[in-house]
Amino acid sequence: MKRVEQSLPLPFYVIDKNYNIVGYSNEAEEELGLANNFLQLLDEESHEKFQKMVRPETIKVTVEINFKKSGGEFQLADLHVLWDSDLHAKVLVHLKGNQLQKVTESLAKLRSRLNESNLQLLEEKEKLEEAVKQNNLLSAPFIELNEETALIPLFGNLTEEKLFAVEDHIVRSAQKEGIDRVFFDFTAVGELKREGITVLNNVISSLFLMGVKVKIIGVKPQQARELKEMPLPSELNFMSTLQEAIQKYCTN
Amino acid sequence: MINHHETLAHLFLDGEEEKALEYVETLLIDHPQLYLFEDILTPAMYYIGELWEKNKITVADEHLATGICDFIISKLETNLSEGVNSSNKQPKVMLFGVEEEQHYIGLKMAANTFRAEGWKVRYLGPNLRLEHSLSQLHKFKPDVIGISAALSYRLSTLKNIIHELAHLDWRPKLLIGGRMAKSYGLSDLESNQVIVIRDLKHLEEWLQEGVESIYNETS
Ligand code: B12
Repeated sequence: MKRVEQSLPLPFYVIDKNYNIVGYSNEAEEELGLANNFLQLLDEESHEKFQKMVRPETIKVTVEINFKKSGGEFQLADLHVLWDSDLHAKVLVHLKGNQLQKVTESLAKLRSRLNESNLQLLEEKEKLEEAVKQNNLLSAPFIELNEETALIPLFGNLTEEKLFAVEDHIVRSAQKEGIDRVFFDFTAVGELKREGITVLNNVISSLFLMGVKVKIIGVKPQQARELKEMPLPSELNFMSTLQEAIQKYCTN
Repeated sequence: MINHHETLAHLFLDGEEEKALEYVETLLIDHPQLYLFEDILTPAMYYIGELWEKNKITVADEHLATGICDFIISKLETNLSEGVNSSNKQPKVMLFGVEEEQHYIGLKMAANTFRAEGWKVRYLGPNLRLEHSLSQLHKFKPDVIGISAALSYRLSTLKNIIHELAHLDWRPKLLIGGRMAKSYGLSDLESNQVIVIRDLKHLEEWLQEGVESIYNETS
């Protein structure tokens, strides 16, 4: 192996048909280093490509390949290969690292900025969902009027989501010893959703099973018509106002 | 038989994002997302690797193809209807690529796979300094951490990260994926906290079984 006394300002090697390095330029030594065999300078996963593409039958070829750097990193390069004979080839190396790197880095930066704003949006969305959940939980407070009677004023639209959020709390609170009557107050209820009423039906059925009586209060005429079409226990009791209910059951 | 992944790979290389998206959406009519990721997009990217090995394309072409593939996955992400979660407990996962790693397509697919299963997902992207990931981890406290590494010399970085993360006080599970996991096995890194995942089908299997243990441990 000898240093080639040509003043080519680029990494340059001469190899034989077994890829042994038989000559090299100054720049080759400085930028890529030396080895007995050219393959030793390349990433293992570039070997096959190199061996397939660089052979005496193909007199002239350009191949993109990865060099191994000392730290383990790779360096991308174009090899311009020219076979003088069946025995020797000249290999001129054009390192592409810096060109690509700039573009790659800007692309990566853009990508991570996009991802960050995505994350922020996601966090905001989750906060909102959490707020809705909290709001749902507050839409059906369990108020004990006296030892036997509790009032549950419902607020807003009766959606499935909302009733799922409160069903557990209602049933659990009603398990308290002594409670044997629950008023559901519809005065502040907006729209009735079929799926929501289905869940309410389950809650009421559970209360019945626990021996708790249920009264529905403050249903507007329009809602009453709608409720008839929805799945609710037939033995359910309705009263028009809370006042009436309290008078009847809570004064003695 | 039509080779979907090759057709798609050429659309990627030609920068045809609209056509690629149409193609994918047609496939999704009859197939689940997992099939698209594992049996179409991944082979398409591997096929692009083969074209490079045959000297037909350059790394610059791979960059373009990656951009289109990324676009497709992001597009699907926004279409994804979130799994209804009537139970309040939603398990959490945070995913990132190791420092200097630029291969992130697989990681992004993994993130979407978690999402489709109703998980709360934080995808931080590739090439993250460990300090940065750590601060995010402490904030989010995920049940599972997903890490991806592709290049063969990442082994020591990976070991360091695992060592570091295994000591987090809430003991998250660590899932290791990426080409390192696929081609190098990495089985000696495994423990009951560290799981090496070959591909998305394997992930899906783990999600069916592994989740049970997470619910049990955190509740
Ligand atoms: C496209 C590509 C790129 C793209 C990156 C695109 C991307 N994917 O993000 C770009 C152009 C940026 C790129 C750059 C480089 N690349 Co490249 N690249 C590829 C190529 C052709 C395909 C990779 C790919 O997209 N695969 C598709 C994904 C979906 O597959 P996957 O990562 O295996 O993921 C699957 C599983 O592992 C799993 N998974 C992945 N992550 C995770 C995470 C979790 C938590 C879970 C559960 C699962 C999971 O899900 C996926 C589906 O099953 C491969 C060739 C190959 N055969 O892999 C080369 C390859 C990986 N690259 C290589 C090289 C050398 C490079 C560069 C160094 C080139 C250079 N000199 O610039 C740089 C590296 C930069 C860096 N610092 O990281 C070499 C690696 C050689 C080695 N010794 O390791 C390969 C093998 C090509 C080769 N034959 O030389 N590359």
